Amino acid sequence: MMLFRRRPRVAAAPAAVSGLADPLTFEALFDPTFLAALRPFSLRISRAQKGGRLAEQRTNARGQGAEFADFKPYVAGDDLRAIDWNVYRRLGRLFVRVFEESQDMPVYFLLDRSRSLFVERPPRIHAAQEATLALAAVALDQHDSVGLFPFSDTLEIEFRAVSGKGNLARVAHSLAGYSALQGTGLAAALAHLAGLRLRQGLVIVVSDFFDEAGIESVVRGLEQLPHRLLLVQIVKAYDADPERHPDLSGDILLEDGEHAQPTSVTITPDLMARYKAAYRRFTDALSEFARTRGAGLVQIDADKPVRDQLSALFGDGAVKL
Amino acid sequence: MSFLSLPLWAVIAGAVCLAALLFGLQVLKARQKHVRIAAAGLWAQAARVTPLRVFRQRFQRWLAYLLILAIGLLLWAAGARPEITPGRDAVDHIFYLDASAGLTGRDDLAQARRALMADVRNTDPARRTVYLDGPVAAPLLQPGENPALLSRRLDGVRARLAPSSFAHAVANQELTGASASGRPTVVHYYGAWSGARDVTSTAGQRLVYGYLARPTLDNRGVVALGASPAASGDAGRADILVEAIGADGRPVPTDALRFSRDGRDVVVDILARPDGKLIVRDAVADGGLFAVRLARSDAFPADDQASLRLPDRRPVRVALSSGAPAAVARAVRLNPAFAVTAPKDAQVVVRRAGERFGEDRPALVVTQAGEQSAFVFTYGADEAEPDLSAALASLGISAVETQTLARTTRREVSAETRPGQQRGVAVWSALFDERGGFPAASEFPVFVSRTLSWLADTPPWIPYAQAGTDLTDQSDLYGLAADRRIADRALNGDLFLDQAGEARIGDLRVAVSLTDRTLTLDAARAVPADVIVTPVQGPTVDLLFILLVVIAGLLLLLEWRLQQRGAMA
Repeated sequence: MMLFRRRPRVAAAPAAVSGLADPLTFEALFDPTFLAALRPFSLRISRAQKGGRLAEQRTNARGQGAEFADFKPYVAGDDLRAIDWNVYRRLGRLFVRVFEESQDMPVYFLLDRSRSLFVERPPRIHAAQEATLALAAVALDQHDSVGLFPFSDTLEIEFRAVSGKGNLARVAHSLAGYSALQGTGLAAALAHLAGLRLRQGLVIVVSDFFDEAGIESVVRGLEQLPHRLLLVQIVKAYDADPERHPDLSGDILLEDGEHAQPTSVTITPDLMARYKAAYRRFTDALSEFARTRGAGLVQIDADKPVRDQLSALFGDGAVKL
Repeated sequence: MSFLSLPLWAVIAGAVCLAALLFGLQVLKARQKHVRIAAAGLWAQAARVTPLRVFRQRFQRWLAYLLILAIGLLLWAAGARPEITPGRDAVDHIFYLDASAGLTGRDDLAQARRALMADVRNTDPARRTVYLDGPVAAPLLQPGENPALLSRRLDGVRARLAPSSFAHAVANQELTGASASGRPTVVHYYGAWSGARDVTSTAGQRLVYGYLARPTLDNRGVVALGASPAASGDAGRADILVEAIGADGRPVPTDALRFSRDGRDVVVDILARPDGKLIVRDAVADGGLFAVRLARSDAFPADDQASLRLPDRRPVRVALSSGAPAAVARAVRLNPAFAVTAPKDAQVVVRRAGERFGEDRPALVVTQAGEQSAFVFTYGADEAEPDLSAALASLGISAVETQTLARTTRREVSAETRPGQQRGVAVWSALFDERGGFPAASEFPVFVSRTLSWLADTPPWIPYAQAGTDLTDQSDLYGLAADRRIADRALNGDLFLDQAGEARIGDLRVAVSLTDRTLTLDAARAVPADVIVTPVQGPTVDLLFILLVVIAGLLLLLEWRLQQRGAMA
């Protein structure tokens, strides 16, 4: 009988990988033209959890607001201005009008800082930064709060909630400082986030979703979150169509910067077909989750301008989740 | 086993180098390039789905290397042209390719060449010698030489429009080679049967036929073409004899012939003789090219046409100075071969020494006795110094009564040659003295005619030019000086015309024709039943070469298939 289970050998930390790209600088990221183009857009969720500040998102809270919700019998302490005198004249009893209270929506950004977003040219992190800043700008512009949770192997808490347009520069500063960390631990990061018991809101995951634990673990982690979800998948054209990559032929060593040992493969038509099938399963799993959960899923091509792709996402001006 | 293109050591060294080169390339190929890609995990997952078997993985590269090496070595070996060396032979073999006119029909030469190559490959290299037909048999492959050389040397061989020289070569023992050892000899003949008809096997030399040209049963051909002075007496014209016969030796009808001058078809005045020969009458003798051909060609084209460059009998333009001797002027005016013109139009001038008359033209100059030798020949800058006695003979001076001349002038009569810008003849005036008797002699017009013709460098009278015979120059018959170009190049007075076509003798162009009656008739005759062609021993194609290339191609196909299936590194 084995008394002590041998601890699995801890994988050696990946050697420092040279040639990783730098993130966009604050000056490159905080482009007024880019931000001004986002002004017409808005993010809406069906109903935010009450308990927040007065803002623009619909909630279950009753109180001050513009939208009439119901009548209730008057009790001492109610605002006399809310008494409906027409009802009193008809029924002889005092009723006060209650309104639906609009509050703010907390938007939590989970931004991937793993090395896989930094190894290519141009790196996917640039598109991830721009997409995050753009969505944060939309949220702040509609008086919602923004939380920033970068992750790699583990989840970090940059800030839980900031609001007000003035904080957009703070978000941009944070994003500009996001250099490459280690591997992708999205499933673990999601579990960590779920354990934080944050006020319900919108979680936006910006990542390539290439987690070593597999897309199934990622989906399980997403299912645990009690928030509305928007998944921003940073892709490249050759993810789905590897023949478009000029170097994917013959004997090659593939590395994503996150593992010490690169993967040695010989590109053959058979392997190419198997990869395409694996990638199809990967994207199908994400799409299926988004469909069943009612989450948003958007693919941002890292080789194309982010603003154009977001414009297509927002369509008539609002994304409703 | 031996190799045709390379010696054995070079083949082995090349194979080793090839193996090393391919190994190096394989090592270089095994150096994988690094590709950074975010989806590397998915690739690894795809590669793990159906991993290669360990054994195959371990030896995959070696198998790939061995396959490539096999293909490379097969191609290398095929390029080196391996052949199975025939066994030792007790007799010597002489192969004779009679690429004369008999092989001009259809693809006879190609077939003869194929049979020759196959037979040579299957013969002991130390005992074989290959000759090519020609005026003198030319060795194509010496004993021990590589047959690949023969193939290359045969590349430029074309059938020669001339009669066969095979019988002549055998008779003169030109075909020696390895047979000089005294061993029995087998002579393999590749050509037309008529070329070997006069050759018979002897005790030490057996004749076998490797290939014989097929007969052209309906062959017709031009068998005679020649020119003679016109019977009409017109000095500027010539009559041309034409004879064309069919396979039965009968004359070909006139309407089956076409005539041309300088490449343009012409209609000629023809007189048919009772013997079937044709006379084309009064053709202008201007040095043009006259050709006759069959209106409908046949499968043996060598004798289907013949051409002749006509003599140039246009009058020589002569200018006579006022001081020219009266006897010379009279001889010139009476001779229709000369036309008296002004000095600027003249080809030749006649003047006295010191006269300023046509000084830039070849001249017959009359000098005073004592000034110089009696006869002075000046030759042009581009000519060799003429032989003095030959020059005197060709101008008819030998007939001059030199003793009478010496007595009259009281001087020693001598002759000399001098170099100059152009031709010239200087003669003492005493020779033309009416009292001396020479102007009245019958040789005098001949002397004047030949001298002026020599000075004008008049083309010779060549009545016909037949391939395989000596050139015939009949200038002497028609009052012309012997042509210097022919004289310079003739060997013992003979100038051999080796094949039909245009022959150049210095700047003199001669149209040589086959016009061989025997050849024309033989081309139509079938090979006698007792003449047996030895079938080729062994394959006529290089089977080993083809086999190696085919195997290499199949292996290449296999490699491509394995690559497609992803089973090759």
